Amino acid sequence: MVLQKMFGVLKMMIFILREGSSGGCAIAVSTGACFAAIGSDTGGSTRNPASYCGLVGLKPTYGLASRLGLIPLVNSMDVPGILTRYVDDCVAVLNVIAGHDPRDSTTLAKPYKKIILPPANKLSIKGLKVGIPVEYYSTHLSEEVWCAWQEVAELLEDHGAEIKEISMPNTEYSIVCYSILNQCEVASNLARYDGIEFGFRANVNLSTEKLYATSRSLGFNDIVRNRILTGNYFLLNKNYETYFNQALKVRRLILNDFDKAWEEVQVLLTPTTLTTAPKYNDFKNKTNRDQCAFQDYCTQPANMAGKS
Amino acid sequence: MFSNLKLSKLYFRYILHSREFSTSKWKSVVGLEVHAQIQAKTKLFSASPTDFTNPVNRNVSLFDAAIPGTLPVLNKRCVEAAVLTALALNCRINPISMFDRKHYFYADLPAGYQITQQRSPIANNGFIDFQVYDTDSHKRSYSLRSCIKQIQLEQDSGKSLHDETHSLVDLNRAGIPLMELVFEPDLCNGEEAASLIKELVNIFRCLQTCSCKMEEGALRVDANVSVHKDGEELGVRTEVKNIGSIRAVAGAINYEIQRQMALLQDGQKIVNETRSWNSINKITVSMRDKEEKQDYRYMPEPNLPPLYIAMGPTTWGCVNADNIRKLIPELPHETRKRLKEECNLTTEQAVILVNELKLLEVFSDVILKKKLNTNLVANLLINVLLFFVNKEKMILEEIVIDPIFFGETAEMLQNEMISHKTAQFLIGEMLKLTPKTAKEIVISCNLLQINDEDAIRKRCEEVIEENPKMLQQYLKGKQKVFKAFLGVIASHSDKVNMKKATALLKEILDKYKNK
Repeated sequence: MVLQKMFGVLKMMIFILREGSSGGCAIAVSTGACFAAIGSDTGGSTRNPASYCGLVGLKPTYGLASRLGLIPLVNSMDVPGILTRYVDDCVAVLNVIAGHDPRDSTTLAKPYKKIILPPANKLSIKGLKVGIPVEYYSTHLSEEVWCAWQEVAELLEDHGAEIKEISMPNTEYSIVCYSILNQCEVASNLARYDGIEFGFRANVNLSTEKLYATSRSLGFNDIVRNRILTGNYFLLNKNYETYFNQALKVRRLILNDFDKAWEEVQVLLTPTTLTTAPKYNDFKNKTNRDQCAFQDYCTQPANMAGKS
Repeated sequence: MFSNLKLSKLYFRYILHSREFSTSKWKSVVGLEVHAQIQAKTKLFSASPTDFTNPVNRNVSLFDAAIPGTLPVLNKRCVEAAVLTALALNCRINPISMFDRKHYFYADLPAGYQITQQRSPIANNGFIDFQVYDTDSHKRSYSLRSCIKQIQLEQDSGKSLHDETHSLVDLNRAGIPLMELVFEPDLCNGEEAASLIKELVNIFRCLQTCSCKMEEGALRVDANVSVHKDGEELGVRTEVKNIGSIRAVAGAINYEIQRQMALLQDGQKIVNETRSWNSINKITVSMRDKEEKQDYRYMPEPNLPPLYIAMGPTTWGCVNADNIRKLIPELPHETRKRLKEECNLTTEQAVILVNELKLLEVFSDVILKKKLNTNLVANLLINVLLFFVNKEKMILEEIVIDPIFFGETAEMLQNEMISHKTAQFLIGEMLKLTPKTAKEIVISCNLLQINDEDAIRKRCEEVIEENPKMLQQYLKGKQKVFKAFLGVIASHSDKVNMKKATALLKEILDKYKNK
């Protein structure tokens, strides 16, 4: 999470949030401190801050770019995301990082064909089939974002694209499904922070079990502890079918939505976030789960489906 | 928990009363789980070496130390080894298998989970056939089959070293490839379990998929043991973990069966718990005092795609099972069959040669090069060489057998150039790494066998004359004295052809009888 004092509004002392775990990357790129940045994207962490900062944020398809070195959150959804100021820059970075990596077994074995963009004056979107998923009209969608969405759709249509409304009926289940899978994988990935090799170590010598328990309850904050406990609960032998496996089935339904959409259209046009960048005071009053539900509604299904 | 004192009392009471209540009322059930380190140069998911002799924490990559952001990459050699082993053990290879994370906290498990194959393993439904030698009932042997539920690939954990104040962790073993073989509970006692493990070791060695160096922990056995009364439901089981030698397998299981019987006989209950074998005091000891069952919170390993194995019409996969099947060498049971049928060896001879690959190598080599009596060669290996090695407390794996020296010795023995005693002497010289050839020793030490019948007859007559008392006893009908005469003859000289001596002695003594 990144708090940025907006240069223009500094006097008014209003904090605007450039939210998402790769917010730092977004600030660095948008201020010109660097040419491009690589963030991680598990549910929208690259695209959301890019959107808030007026940048290009790309989440490559799962398996297109190697995850080696990426600190995992949800291994089955994590991808290295790209943040740049221009689309050309983004393509340049993607062409470098994409392709099979023998050290990441989940990357696609198929050789990567580099993307070469034609010059702008030769670009055409004539006949491009653009899908607008109706389920993305969330009740929480702000008017400003809704207007921008409309505007872009019209712009595309004016230049020859075919705009088509489509249905992705399982979109609304994505967040709840995500919260189960996220918590399970988080519980698993954070198991290594036991105070022995990694993480905070409490000053307890009574027993190894006591050392683990104290270190981990002191070393993790409420949000993380909550995720670890619920994640482990979902993974208990008696709960595995009810929660984890059920979430995997729902995940498959979400993937099916995408596969069905591709039969009709070539790209989807959706908002990235439901609102423009929130103010700190509005944001801090929400619980972590609401924050997530609010921020990742439009970006998250793509991670579920492994799509870009 | 029971103190050791109480335990030994119970055990004692069981022994005392064992005649009063027939043990046949009790049935014991034993099922094994075997962890075998796969013979591979690198670890299961990393490029670290597996060399056991390296210093502590030398064979550790970033992945082995569970550094965040590192990823597992499956070692193809390990898949091949597991498929080869599974095929040799008559298993069904699964065209798709998966990896799971098994979570538990332990200092030598740096990631907090072990990558294993719980839900869909690489192979299922196999079996192993083996011979059981019951030492108690006069070497009676019977054949048995134990079914294999599954074979799975998994990582080994690191090692914790404890002293009174510190616990130290060595991650050299962390990530070493393992095959876990889960057997059905279809055995009855320690001897059966030990015989199964012995045959499994033979198969592993033959396939070269596991070194089976139990002293290095390359093969570890867990035994599930329960007892119940005939006709009743299965009893509560205990698990004896990490048994580190074949002898300990038999000892630990038999102890555990008797401990459980004694407790039940005493009206007490068996606690479902994990125990360890104390090889010094020859008892099993409870390892954890918590009775709650661990929940390992299995989860599919998200960093590894499903493992595909090509077979039949499917050509796509990490390895091809049909090609691997062609690599299966002659398996121990086939070797034993060949030795019995083609070389006319007895079952026992065949079993010993197959159990001791070193002897089998020499046997095959000598038989191939020289036209020798196979029985004579096998006897020389087993009754002379192996006997000598055991008597001198040498380690078979470490000794050097010179096949040329051995072959010459066997040849001279067969041609009656030397006596059996001389052959024993020569084998001893060979194991002491003599620079001379067998023939040179025989000639330089003047060890050629005395085959001249007149000379042997003379020797026999001398011995009889020197021992009039023995002669009297013999003539009174004491047959044993005949062997005593032979002993005296042999004790005078190692060179006498004892076969001829036996015949001549009989002839001479018969003459005395008829006088």
